[in-house]
Amino acid sequence: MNNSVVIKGMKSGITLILDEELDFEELKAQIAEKFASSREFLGRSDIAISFEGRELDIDQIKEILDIIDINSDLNIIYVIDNNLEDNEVFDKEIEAIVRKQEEKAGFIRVETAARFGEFYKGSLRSGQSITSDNGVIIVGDVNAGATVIAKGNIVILGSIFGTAHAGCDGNYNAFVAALDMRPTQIRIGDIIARSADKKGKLLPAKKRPEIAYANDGNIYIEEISREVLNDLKF
Amino acid sequence: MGEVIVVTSGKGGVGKTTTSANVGTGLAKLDKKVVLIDTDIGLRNLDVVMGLENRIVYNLVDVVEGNCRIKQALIKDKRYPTLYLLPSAQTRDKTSVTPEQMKKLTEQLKEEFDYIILDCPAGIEQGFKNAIAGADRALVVTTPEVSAVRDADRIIGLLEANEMKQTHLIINRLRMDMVKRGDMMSAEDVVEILAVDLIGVVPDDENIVVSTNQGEPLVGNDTLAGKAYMNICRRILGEEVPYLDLNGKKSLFKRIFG
Amino acid sequence: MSFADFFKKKSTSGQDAKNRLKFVLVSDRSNCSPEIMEQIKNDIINVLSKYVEIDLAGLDIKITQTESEGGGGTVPALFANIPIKDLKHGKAIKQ
Repeated sequence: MNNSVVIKGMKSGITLILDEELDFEELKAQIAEKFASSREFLGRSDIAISFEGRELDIDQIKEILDIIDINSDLNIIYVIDNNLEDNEVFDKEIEAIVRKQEEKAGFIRVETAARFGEFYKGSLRSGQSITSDNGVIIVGDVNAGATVIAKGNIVILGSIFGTAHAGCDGNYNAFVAALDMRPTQIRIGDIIARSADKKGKLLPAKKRPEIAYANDGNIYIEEISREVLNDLKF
Repeated sequence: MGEVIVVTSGKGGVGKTTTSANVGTGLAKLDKKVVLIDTDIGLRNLDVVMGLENRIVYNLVDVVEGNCRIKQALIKDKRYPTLYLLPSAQTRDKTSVTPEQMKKLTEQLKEEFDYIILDCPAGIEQGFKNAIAGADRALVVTTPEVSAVRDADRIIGLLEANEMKQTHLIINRLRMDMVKRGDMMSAEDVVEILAVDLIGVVPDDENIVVSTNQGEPLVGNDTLAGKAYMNICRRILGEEVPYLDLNGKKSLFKRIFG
Repeated sequence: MSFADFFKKKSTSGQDAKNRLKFVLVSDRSNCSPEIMEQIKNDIINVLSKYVEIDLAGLDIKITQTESEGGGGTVPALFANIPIKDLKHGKAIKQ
């Protein structure tokens, strides 16, 4: 078994481990052979690639990419700099590219955090708080002095008098919806909106459910309607 | 350098928070730079009495834990530009802050403000110890009831044991009609029992309830309680202010009500 | 019956409050618990019962405050009001 070219899979792509000693022309032939023989297995997808084991200059990388293009059905969309081994950065870059392509294709992408929700039954009283890495659905009320903080969306099947913070890790597409929206404060991403200064009197109960969302650095609260739903970006 | 004043009582429900709000607001009305600190962690109230509950982003615990700068946590009052509130945390407990941290915080605020008013929680546990740690002066609030006076006595003893430089008494919710009938201890009675300097007497006034409902302290307005609180503020500044006649009518006898 | 009754004809609830507070604060400040007070009371009764018959219903023993003789504020004092029913002349001493 010839080990001068090894293909290693990783989360968002592949790593090509190349022999350091081998003549470059010889190496190219081996890469071609390797990809051609794995064509079925590797399949057809958009991936990123990185190289290990050997210093390559720009022209050599281009040559290798051409070879892969010819000998496989893979579509290389990103080449990772070898010095940049931080996988997180890598994954983010990939995600951004994938998202751009999806947008081009007309997909509506739902943030991971917004895609999942945790259900809570019962009312949150003053001093109580819920914090979640996902969205939160509360079947009950959120009283004044209580706080709900979520990376995703917040839906309250009841009244909210307290504070809700949706998209707390900076997702401005998150929203807060409630059957009776009379909050002390709504936060989306790092935008904060507070209730109007009222003089002792509780606002009358809302008759219709409302939704709070962010747009251009402001938070808007509107009755839930088809138009509003169409404008939501989550 | 500013002065740190703790408002305390021992017993709950005698009007510590109302007093803190009115004294703080009154001093700001008299052009002093004031910060009110709610040290009742887990049961915050000063924010609603001041009508600033919807502006809270950071709180006392965030400040001592270093989650934010002091400036970020200070809420500017909606009426008086020299008045600020540092709210308490609602979702934490009293052990989140230590007396040393409070002392450090008040030392820092002293450089910026003329008066730092600390609203103390009821009780004599950690919250009380936190609140009195950095204080230069204490205002002990009591009502003319046996339970409140007894607790005030205990608090005064603890303040003395902690070498509080100055301790003053505020008698709250005095009802002149009941005192006249003999059904309530008079201000003189309470002062005699507690043997501590009086700095003000506040009548039981339903306007207090109205002002709390509206989130606007009534200090300085034309109500009896509003005048009484303003007099307390002036006395804190060192002015000699005669005591009010709480009967609402002119009285020939000069008495120590007000 | 309260301490004040000896000096005032009629007691108001405000005065009651003041007097009760005075007593309770003396015991608070001197760390004299109600149990200790009860023991003092029982010991006094035991001693006096050797010689006289005491009206237990009218008994009143408290720690109170009194002006110190030097004039420097108040000091705690034991106040006892012990009505005697009968002197036990020549009777055998019990206990």
